[in-house]
Formats: sequence, C-alpha cells, structure tokens
Amino acid sequence: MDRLVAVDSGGTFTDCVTLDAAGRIGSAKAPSTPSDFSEGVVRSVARAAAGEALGLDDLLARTGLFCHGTTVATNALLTRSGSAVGLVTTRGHEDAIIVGRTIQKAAGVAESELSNLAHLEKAVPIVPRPLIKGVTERIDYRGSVVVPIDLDEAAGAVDELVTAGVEAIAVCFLWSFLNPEHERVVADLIRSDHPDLFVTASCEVAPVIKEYERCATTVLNGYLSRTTHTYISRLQQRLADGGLANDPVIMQSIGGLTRAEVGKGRAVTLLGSGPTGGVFGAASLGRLIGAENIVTTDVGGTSFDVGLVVDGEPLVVGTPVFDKYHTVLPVIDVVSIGAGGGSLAWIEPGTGLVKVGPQSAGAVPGPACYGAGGTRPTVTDANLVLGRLDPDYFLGGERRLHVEGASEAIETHVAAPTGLSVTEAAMAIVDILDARMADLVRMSTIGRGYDPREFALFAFGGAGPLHVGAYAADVGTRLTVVPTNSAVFSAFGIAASDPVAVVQASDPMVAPFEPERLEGIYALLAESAVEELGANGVAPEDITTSREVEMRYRGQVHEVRVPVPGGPLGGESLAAVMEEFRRRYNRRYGPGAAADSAIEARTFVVRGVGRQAKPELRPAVLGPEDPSPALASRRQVYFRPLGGFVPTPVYRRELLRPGNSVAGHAVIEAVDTTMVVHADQRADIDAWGNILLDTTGGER
Amino acid sequence: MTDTLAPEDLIAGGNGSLDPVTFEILRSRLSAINDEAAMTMRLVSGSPVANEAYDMNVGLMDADGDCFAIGMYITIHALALSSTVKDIRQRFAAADVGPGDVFMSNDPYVGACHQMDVAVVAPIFAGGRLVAWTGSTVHQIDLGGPVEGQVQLGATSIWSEQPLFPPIKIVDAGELRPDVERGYLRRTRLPHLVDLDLKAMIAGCNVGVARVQDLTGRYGTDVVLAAIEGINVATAARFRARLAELPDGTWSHRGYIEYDEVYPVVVEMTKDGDSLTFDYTKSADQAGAVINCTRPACVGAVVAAVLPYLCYDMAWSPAGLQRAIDVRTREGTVVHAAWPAGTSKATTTGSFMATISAGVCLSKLLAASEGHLRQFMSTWMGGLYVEDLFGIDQRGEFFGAAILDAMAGGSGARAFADGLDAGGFLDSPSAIIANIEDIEYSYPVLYLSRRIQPDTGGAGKYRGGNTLAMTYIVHGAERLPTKILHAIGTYQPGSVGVAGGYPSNTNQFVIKRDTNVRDLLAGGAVPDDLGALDGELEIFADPIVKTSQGPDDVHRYVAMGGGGYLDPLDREPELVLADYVVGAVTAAHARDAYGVVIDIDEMCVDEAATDRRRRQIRDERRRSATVPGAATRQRGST
Repeated sequence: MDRLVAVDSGGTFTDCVTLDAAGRIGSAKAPSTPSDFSEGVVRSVARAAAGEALGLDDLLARTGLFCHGTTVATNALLTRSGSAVGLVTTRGHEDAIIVGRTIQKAAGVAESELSNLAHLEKAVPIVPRPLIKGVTERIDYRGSVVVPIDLDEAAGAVDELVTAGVEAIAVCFLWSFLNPEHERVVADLIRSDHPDLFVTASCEVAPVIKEYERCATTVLNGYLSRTTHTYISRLQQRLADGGLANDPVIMQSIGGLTRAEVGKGRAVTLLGSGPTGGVFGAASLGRLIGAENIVTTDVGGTSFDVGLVVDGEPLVVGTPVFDKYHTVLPVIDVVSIGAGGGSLAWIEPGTGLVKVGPQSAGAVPGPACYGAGGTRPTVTDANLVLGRLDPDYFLGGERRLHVEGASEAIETHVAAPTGLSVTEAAMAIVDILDARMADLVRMSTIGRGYDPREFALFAFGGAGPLHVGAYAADVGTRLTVVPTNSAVFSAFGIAASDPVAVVQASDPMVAPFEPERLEGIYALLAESAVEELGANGVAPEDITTSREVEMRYRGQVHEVRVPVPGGPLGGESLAAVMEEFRRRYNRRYGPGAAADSAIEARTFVVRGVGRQAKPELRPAVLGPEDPSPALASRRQVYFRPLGGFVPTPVYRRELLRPGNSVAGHAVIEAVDTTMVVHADQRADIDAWGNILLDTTGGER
Repeated sequence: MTDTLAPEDLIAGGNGSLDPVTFEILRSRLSAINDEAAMTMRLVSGSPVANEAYDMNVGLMDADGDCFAIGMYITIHALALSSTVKDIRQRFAAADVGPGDVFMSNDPYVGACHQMDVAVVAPIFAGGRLVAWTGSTVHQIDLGGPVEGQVQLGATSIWSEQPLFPPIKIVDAGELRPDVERGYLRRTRLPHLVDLDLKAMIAGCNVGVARVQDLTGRYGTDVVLAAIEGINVATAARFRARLAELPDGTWSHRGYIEYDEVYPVVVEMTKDGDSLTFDYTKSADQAGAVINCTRPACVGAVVAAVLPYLCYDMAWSPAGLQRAIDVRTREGTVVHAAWPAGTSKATTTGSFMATISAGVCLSKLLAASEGHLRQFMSTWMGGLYVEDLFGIDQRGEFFGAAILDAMAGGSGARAFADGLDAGGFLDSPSAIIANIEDIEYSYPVLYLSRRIQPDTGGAGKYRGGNTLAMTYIVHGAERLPTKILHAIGTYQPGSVGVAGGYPSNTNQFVIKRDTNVRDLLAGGAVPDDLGALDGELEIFADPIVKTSQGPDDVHRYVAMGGGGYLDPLDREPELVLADYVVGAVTAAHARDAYGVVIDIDEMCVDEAATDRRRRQIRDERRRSATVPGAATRQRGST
C-alpha cells in the first residue's frame, strides 16, 4: 500500500503517473473513452502497471492513495447532458438566471469574437423557464425577514416540479447568505417529501452576495449531480473490483483533493478542474527547486492556458465563467486563448495578412500532416516543415507525419497568397503564435500587477517545450523550467496535491470592524472546513487552516483578497489587515490609486488543508555536463538567426542525465514531446530531472 | 499619408521597415495594450457606470490624433478622444506638450460626447519624439450644474448646464496639479466618486504610455510608427473591400427625440462602390439645450453603428473607417449643435438616435445582401431609459446613483433567429447590469420584481428580444427625495422593425402613489405587479421627469425591446406556442400580432382558428391600405 497513483482524464488522452515509496516516478498515456471515461482511466493505470511489469490488480492492491482529475462535469455541461433540474426562487425574480445580467451573451467570449454581435448567444439554458418557480418570501439587505416564506406555496411549486419529472431541485432566495432560514425550510421540505431527489440550496453551495452568480452556481450543482454521481460510482466500483482498498480522491477546481464520496454531492466544484493539476504541480515543484513566483503555461492542441503561482500559492479567482454562466466559486485562475499545435493559419481577406488561430483543426481531421483529411495548415505543420518535429518520431513513432501534406497546405493557403516561400511562411506562422503566447503571458502578469521578469516560467503540455524557448525569451523571464514528465504534468500535479476544503460566506460590513463578529464568522467557517476534511479521513492534528477576506473600497465594484492572520483578532491585527489591503490594492492598480473612502469587508474564506503522507521525490547526484551519450542523431532544422536550415543535434530526453547541459541550437525529443533549444540558449538537467532553460544568453 | 496607398506598399515595400509578420505582431500587441489600459481603468474606477454599464472607453491615437484602436466598450468615445487630441495639437505650443503630461476636457464643442464624459488624454514620447496618444473616458454621475446628474432640466442653453472646461493640463511632467484637481472636484456633488474616476482615467493613460514606450524601445520608433499607419491603411482597405461586396443604393430612416417637442433625426445613407455616405442634413433644428449633440459626437455615433454591422470580423480602427465614410451634417441641428446650444444629455438623445438611425439604414443594406444576410440585425433597444437617484442612504450618508437596469434591452431580430431577451444594447457588447443584492446593499431601495416583460420585442417571422420590467419601493430610508427619470422612445418605439417586422414597445415609467404595499408585505404577500396594489397611478407623459418617491409609492418601469424582422404572420405557429410556454408572448399578443390562436387548455396551436385569424388580419391590411401619396406624407412617418 505504498503506491500513489494519479490519473488525469482529459478530452483526448488520459494520463497516469505513479509514485513509489522511493520517490520513483512512472507514467503512461491511454486514449480517453468519452462513452464511459472510467474505462480509459483503468486502461491508463493498466499501462502504467505494465511499464513496471505488474498486473493492474497488483498495482491497485499496492496503491494507498488513488487521486483523480476528471472532466465529466465539464463535459456534461458543454454537451448539455445533465439532469432535469428545477429551480425554486424568490417570487418576482424568477428570470435572474436567464437575464444573466445581460453580459451572459459575452461571458467568456474572446475579444475577437465579441465584435460579431449578430452571432452572440446567451447560454443554452440548464434550467428551462417552465421549471423555474417563484415563491412568496423576502429577506432584506440586513438579513431581516420582510415577508415570511409561504410554505404551502413552496410545497405546491415542488409538486409541480416533481410532476414535470425533475431529478434535482435547486433552491436560491435573495439574501439567503445572510439569513438561510427560508432556503433551509424549503430544502428540508423537499428532502422529507421526496428523498430520491437531489436537493441543493445556495446557502450550502455558495453563500455569497451576487444573486445571479449564486443562483447559477446552485443550479449547475443540481444540473451536474446525476452525471457526476453515476461516473464516480462507476469508477469506485471498477477500482474496487480491481483491488483498490481505499476510496479514490478527486481533484477540485479550487485545487486540492476531496474524497469521491464527498465529490458526488458537489459536482459544481469539479467544473473546470482540468487545468488545475498543472498549476498545483508547478507550485509543488517550485517548492522543491526554490521558485516561489511562477507563470505556468500549458500548450496543448487547441488552447494555451496560463496560470500564476504567487508567493508559493496558486492564484485564485472568485467568479469564474463556465460555458457562459458566471459563478461564485473560488477556483484556480487560469486564462486561456485558442492557440496550440492545431491552430489554423489563414490569410485575412482584404489585407492579405497572415493570422493564426483561434480556430483549430481539432483531433479530426487534425493537421494536414496527419494525412487524415486535413488540408488547411496548422502550427504543427509549420513545426514539421521547419524540421523541429521528426516525422518518424511523433508520439514515439506511433503516428507518421507527412511532410509533403504539411508543405502543400502551407504553400496553398499561406505562401502563395503572400509571396513568401514555404519555409518563410512556416516561420511566420510560428513567430505569430509565439508572439500571441508572449502577449497572453504578459497580460496575465502585468494586468494583475506583477512583473513577469520576476517570475519563473514553467512550460508543459504536449506542445509547450516546442515554443517555450521563443516566448520565454520574448517575455524575459529569468528562469524557464520544462518539468520532467512535462507531457503528463497535470497528473503529476494531482499526485502532489493535498485534501483541501474551502468554505466561504458573505456578510458585507463597513470598517471599523468588530473583532467579535469576525471571530464568530471565522469560527463557523473553520468548523465546517475541519468537518469536511474529517469526512475525508484527515485527522484533526493534520489539518491547518488559513483565513482570507475579500475587501473593497466602498462604492467600488472590484474586490481584493487579503489574508487574515491566525489567532485572536483585535484592533491591531485588523489594522494590519486593512494595511495589507491597501498595499495589495496599490500593487494591482498602481501607486496613488488608493482612495480615502471607507473599506468594506464582504466575503470571508477559510481554507483547510490536510497533510497527507506522500512519497518524497529524491534528488539525484549531478553527473557530468557532457550530454553526448544522449545524442541520437543530427538533422536539418530551421533557425533564422543561423541563416536557415542547419545541421542540428537531436538528444533523447530519457537518456539525458542530471548534470547534463545542452547548448543551443539543439532539439530534445521524448516519446510524447519535443523541445527546441535556440542558438543562444542552454538547457541544463537538474537533480530532479527537470530541464532548466536559460534564455537570457548567459546573463542569468 | 493618404488612403490611396495600398497596404502592401506600406508594409512590404515603402520605407521597407516593416515585414508582414512584425506588422501582425505589433497590431495584436497594440490592441493588447489598449485592452490592458481599459482593464486598469475599470478596476480603479469606483463608479458602477464604468464597471457595470461600461459607459467608458480607452483609445490609442497616432501623433495627429487619429484613433487607430478603440476598446470593446462605448465606441462613440473614439471620436471624442480623437477630437480632443486634435484640439490640443492646434491650441498648445509644441513646447507645452511634453513627456509625462496628461490633459483633460469635458467640452463637447472640442470633442467630449457631452459634459459628463470627461476625456483624459496623454501624449506618448519616444526618444524625445511624439509618437502617439492614449486616452480614456468615463461617464461621470455628477459634475455640477443646477440639477443633480446629467439632465439639466429647464436649461435654455449651454450656459445653464454643467460648467465646461476645454483641454487643461491635469498632470504636468508626471506631477498631478493639485490646483486643477481641486477646481475640478469643487463643482461636483460627489467629489469622492469623481476623484476616483479621475485617478482611474489617469491610470489607464499611464498604462498606455508605458507599454507603447516599451514597444518603441524594443522594435524601434520607426517600426512602431509604420505599424500604426499600417493599421489605419489596412483597416481602410479591408473596409472598402467589405463595401464593395455589398449592393449599392440609398436607404433612409427617421428617428425621433421627444423633448419639449418632437425632434426628428433624419438620415439618408448612400452606399456607392467602396464609399459610404451618411447625410443628416434634413434633421430637425436644434433645441435650446439638453438633447443636442455636437458634430464630433455625431461622427462618433456613425462609427459606433458601422463597427458592429459591417466590421464584425476585423480589428476596430475608427480612423481607418473614417477614411471611407463621409458624414454630412448641417450646423444648427440636433445632431450638429451650434454654440451655445446645450448638450447635457446628448449620449442618450442626439448621438444615440444618430447611431440607431444609421443602424437601421445599415440593417436594410444587409437585408438587401444575400452574402451578408447572416450579419443582419434589426434594431437593438432604440431608447435607453436612465434613472438618476440622489438622497440619503440607509447609513445616513448622501448618495448619488444611476440605475441602469434598462441597459438590458432587447436585441434586434436576426435573419436566422430571434433577438436576445434582455440582450443589452448595441453600443456596448460587454455591458452588465448590477445584481439586485448589490443595489439594495448600496442604496435605500427594495425590488419587488425584475423580470423579462412579455410582448416587448417587436413581432416578426423572427421577433425582437424582450426587455426587462422592474418594480421597487423605498427601503431603509424615509423617501427618495430626488429621482430624475429620462428616456427617448416614450411616445413611440425607437426599435423599429425591418422588412415587415414590427417595432418594440415604448419606454414606460410610472409611479403608483400612496399604495397599500406596506400592508400587503406585512400581511405576507409580495405584490410583484402594480395590478395587485391599491393607489393612484401616476403616468409620466414627459420623456424627462424630476420627482420623488415616498414610503408608500411603488415605482415601475419597462425598458425597450428590440425590433422584429419580416412579417409576423409568417412565423411558424409552433415557435409562437413555444414563446407562449416560456412566457415570452401572451396569448392575446400571439393572436393580435402573430395571428396565432393558442388553445390554452390543450397547450397547442389551434390550427383552424390560426388559419382564419391570419386570413382575417391580411384582409384588414388590404382594406386599410392606401395609395402612397400626399396623405401618407402628411402623417410624417417613414
């Protein structure tokens, strides 16, 4: 029972990482199985087991902790295959989730698509209007009851929903985060009359001010309940049948794990958890190698995802958007643009300029070089034409790439219309993509008040190492890291995570704050965080909690998260919290931006983390610098500063040893990823097996 | 540089300093810089106007003041910033414009859309050379004048509206001028809020300056300058190519501004080859004050319509467009005010109707083009209702607020689908309305309801989007002493239908006085509709009203839906039934406008009755039809 297994199940691939007591890492990939994702999960574990010459049941029997990241909730939302859910809400306010503050049509839409007004659409409703029932009740901004709940009317509304065949009911009333009484009695009423229905009340899921976002969060939880429940149960069964003794744990979008049994009731907290593993993995790896501030970049086939780790902690956003619905859930803040290996290159009509993305060739037909019917050129085609990818060693040779197909697509669609040669056109495609990636890294750091040059940049995902040399140099980051197992890094991040419970509640108030009132709020929140971790099997002595508050200047709209120190609160510690608010505010909005208006505290957060025994990674002793034992071949690769195609050494990633140093220009190939080292760059293998890329031309 | 230059001359050849790849990279980077400036400004601004209505914008201008990048917010501001820079270039000695300077102005005769839209602009220097300008603007809630808020009721000229200031230097070589700041804040009833917005606009400019300087440092000043000019040339070329794809012709529209009398805004749009002309010269003579807009605002209004209708797939560079658009106006009209006509409410009257009217012409142009029919949109919410509140809040402090829920108007019907219910408004795709909990926490009100109002979108084969209706009472204070309610489209709908589609509803605001609402609440009922209340209904006939609200008064307003497209008698009866089921149309409206009779017990379409009803409506139309001629013209409608 000394093994840790982590599986990250994505749209196309399911990645598995294993860790043994000695800190040795194994990994495997299997195709995802959308009809029943649990099948792909088990297959990836079987492949990892085979890699260690074990059977699936041998590995599972030895596994103490089985961690899992899943996209089933995200998929159910995107394909609108969730439960029939009804909504009981305050009379007069039934349309809030449909109005969507009118921004719903633009939520999560890229700037470039926003100008196409005729084609903006609101969310495809997860709850149809006839299944929204208004009930007489009203609570005001102080939490006082203006009109008591009409229980007969509520019971009638519930009966109508049941007759209409709902599987789940969401309850969301105005101001319920200050006074949950009305929601509680209605939820209790449904639970006692209809024990088979899934019931979710907003005061349980997200007791936070902002009725639209809170309502959307609550309805999403009901909508996703059945799919998530069914999936997790199936997985539990398959794994138990295979010999796993413990309940698996599931990755949440806030980062951190929760027991599968707990996750079943809180489907909404699994939404968008896909990119979270990578950011947590970076934070964890950062602790090992001494990087506290990190920009994470994950480059896949269709998207480029950027996250931040600041002072060792992943950055959190409080109102994430899921398929046009704004919600109020703290989640790891990951910004995404449509740019990846599959991004299509095209010519803008009227100007003849080269553009790349945001449209992608997708998995089918894929890039032209796949020879699977794609005729339009992609970034992967450009990389192939430039010699950066080896046509015979893509996915370790599993897929042969067609250079002629790639050239022809680039010739037809980019080179001929612009008068560039095929090589120049391919280079233009890569340059434009690299620049867009650098722009997003810059926007994600500078736009939040951080200087990217003070950050380490981590690159992972299948295509990250191909491009990172260019965009890291453009941004000017001081240290660039391509982690070991970069192609399955998200699964590694899941393996490195701890059980986490994040509990929040709004209670808006204006300074000066009463310490007793804050203590009371935090005590309640801490209690439920500890209780939730207890349900995860974490012993009380292994739990640490931390507190935060969302504050703003009175009259402003935007909130800033500020840590609140542990221990009893008093005048002095509260003054320090307000000072920290001003400091963070200034850092984000510039010196002098701070106002002299009153400060408001709005939402209070407690984060509980359970320490969990995990195998530790052990550093290797650094060997010689000379990488030549890993040299596999030389081939012609295009480097513009070197004047074109030049003979370039190609190293095998798995043969490079800690201490080795690869001077650019070079290519480093693994089974699942390829890295380009540019002429003035150097790639060193560190004691943990990571590649540290120096893009500063030796100035570091 | 002239617009006859082809983009490839400038980019590939010309001075040879800019290859197409660098150009594409710089273009995207300049647009990212502008986005970042907008983000910064929004975050610093305290005002819900900037953060929710997004009644704000940022722009980048070339050294001469032509705007080459504008944000996805209220687009009309592009011209305001541009005109303000041009005025500074003309009036200030070159030596008085230096690095670290920031200027501000609220003068509509210089460039601001109206006095409330303060424009803040800053020159960008690189190596001692003026290379570009950055600018930002946020609508202010109060800048003085006899009446609280923007609408200067009773004003007869600009002398009785908010004080004006042509461009003055607010930051001098990096130092904020406290005397100018103090003078500015002295005039407002809300100095805290106005100060925060001033800092926000300066912060937005600072970001723009710093990032463009990074760019010149990295790529060289000449390359960046070539890219800026390249953007204008490329946009003009792309836009002319778009025009060439569209049919030639002349389309016209007549919109109305209700004030002391009704002022028509008349536009004739002619599309000929690759040029586009908007002729507003037949519009009404100006009013004394309040509703007029100046010429820069009218040109900006045209750009604000052209961008979403014709530039849906290209970078938004207003200067590039202007090279292919001709806007003709006559001085002394509501859309080209002559000094000293007042303009305090211009953005929801003169320039708003100029945008809507241009939009109607553009929608007709698209409706006539098979190739671009999928981009067609009937009229979006054609009159914005705004409510300014002033009083003492539940914490005993003076407050001023703009309630902007009415921004959730209906969008126009499309050629393949209905308009969006509570879809927003054309000028600001990112606009967002406040949560009721946030409104009730900040101001002394309690909403009894905020719902989508059925039948407000114009009927059509594809219908316009429905809009919102709200009711609220005073809560946490004795009364709301000052409420200024204002809108156009109160006599007749601004959202007209196109090609046989019907118009939307009108803007409606009423107060039911001295009702039994408190008794009903105490008795356990929530009266979510005025019909449930006793009391006296006060219907405001005027488009602008200053009033107050007492403890037993219930305020209700209905915003405006979007226009329809094609004859509603051609709408699939099953779609009308589906609308009935979700509450988007009532059975009466289904019968009257669509000729669809719904069997309410069976929840199905009564096909025979529908057939009869549709024939009956067609017969009525035939009977009431008149030969076009003198009689029709006298009615004065289009």
